[in-house]
Amino acid sequence: MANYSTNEFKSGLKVLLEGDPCSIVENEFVKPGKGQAFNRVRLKNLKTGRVWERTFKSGESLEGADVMEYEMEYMYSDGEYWHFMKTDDSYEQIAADKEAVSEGIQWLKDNSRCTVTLWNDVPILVVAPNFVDLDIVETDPGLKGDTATGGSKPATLSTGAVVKVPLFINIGESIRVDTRTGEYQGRSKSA
Amino acid sequence: MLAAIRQFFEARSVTEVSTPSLSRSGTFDAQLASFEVSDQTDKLFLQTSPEYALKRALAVYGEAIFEITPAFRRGDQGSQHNPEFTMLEWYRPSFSLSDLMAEVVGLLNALPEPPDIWGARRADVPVYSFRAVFEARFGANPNEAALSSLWQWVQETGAEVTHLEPHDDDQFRSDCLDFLFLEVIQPNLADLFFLTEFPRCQAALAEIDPGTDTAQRFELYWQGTELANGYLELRDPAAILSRHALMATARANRGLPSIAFDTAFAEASALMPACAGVALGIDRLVMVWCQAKTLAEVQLFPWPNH
Repeated sequence: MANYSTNEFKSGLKVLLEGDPCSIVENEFVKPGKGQAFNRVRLKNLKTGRVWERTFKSGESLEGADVMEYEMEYMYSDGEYWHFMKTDDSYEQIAADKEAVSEGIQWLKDNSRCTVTLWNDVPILVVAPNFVDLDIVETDPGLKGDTATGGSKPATLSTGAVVKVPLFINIGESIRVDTRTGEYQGRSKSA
Repeated sequence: MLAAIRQFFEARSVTEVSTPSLSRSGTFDAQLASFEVSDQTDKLFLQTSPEYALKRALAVYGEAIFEITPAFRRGDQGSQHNPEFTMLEWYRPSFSLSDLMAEVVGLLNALPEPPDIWGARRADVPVYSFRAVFEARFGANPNEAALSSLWQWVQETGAEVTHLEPHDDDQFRSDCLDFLFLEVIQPNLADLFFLTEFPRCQAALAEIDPGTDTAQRFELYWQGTELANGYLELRDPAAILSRHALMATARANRGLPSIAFDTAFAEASALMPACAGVALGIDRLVMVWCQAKTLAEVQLFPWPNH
């Protein structure tokens, strides 16, 4: 892959840093009047999802990373791998390991859409949509009419994820969850 | 904008001069890089500012002068930086630093269509002392804090800092102080302010005030951008030579090319009247005056796609 110098760092550029593929989130050239110039860069490690700030010497360069993101449909898991299919009518399938599906998989039911990141054609990250609608399969019985006290209880969703829900929510209901925070947003609109 | 600036100086009997952009001497500042140009026999430098030339002019002419000129800094490229930019620089014999700060405010008041943050006419721009704000935050004098403490504070800012490497010199002290000021102190200051009482290691070509042991230098900050940089000008050739020596050490420690001492400039400095001088970036002034966020928004020919 090509090398990219700090003045070519743009939001979305994929680079290799200490062996890991990273995406540039933000890049700012900073030069105090008579001081050392540097670039203040926010990067996202695409394997761990961690975002952090790092300074680079201006003019320093990094190797580009062969990273592609695809919209895919989650099909099934065979226990060891999780299988996804591209949604571009190619029907191309890929298998992701446990490390790649990590956090994201707990929000995915069969046939739901997600974003899969491939590095050198190997899946490294699966990200669910920001909001998903899932059915509750287990929770303590609801307290009828208690919509005001603001208490919460754990509820297990059809995918196995556990979220905190208000006391009045019952088994069988479908709820909307923000997958970035794991927080209950409300009952599903269609329910 | 340029017409209003010229009118302002004409009314105050400050003479416009013109100095060469190409010169045999480059800046000796460790952190500024000149573009080098060669003709058949010589290596020439595009000027990073008209400072040396204007001081030589002042030594001969002896009265207030200003220049509006292109300046060139290799590698300075970003939303607030362009390798070629336009600089306004002026020198005022017998002015104190605060006289000159007041004149900067006067100049801005004379410009058309001021933005809301400046207001119709301003008399007051807050003044912060670098020494005081640094002591308030870190409990140490920036001249005296151990380099190891400064470096530790830099590490504690939350960013992973890889652009600095520890060196046992004044430039490293200055770079740490810059970083701490930018990351930790400046975000808590006003949107618009003068910074004064710089640490000794950031004196550049400014006099040191023996009372406070700080450099007689000011900068005007506007929403995080440095707009102007002024000095009570250093005139003693021996002091200039020792500042050059410090920068030469800094350059050597960092593997940067050495820059010959510009004797003509140092000799001229001794012949200058006591004066204060300031440089102001015109491109940035237009940017903040139009409330733009980047230079590219206000430039006809943004770098590098001329």
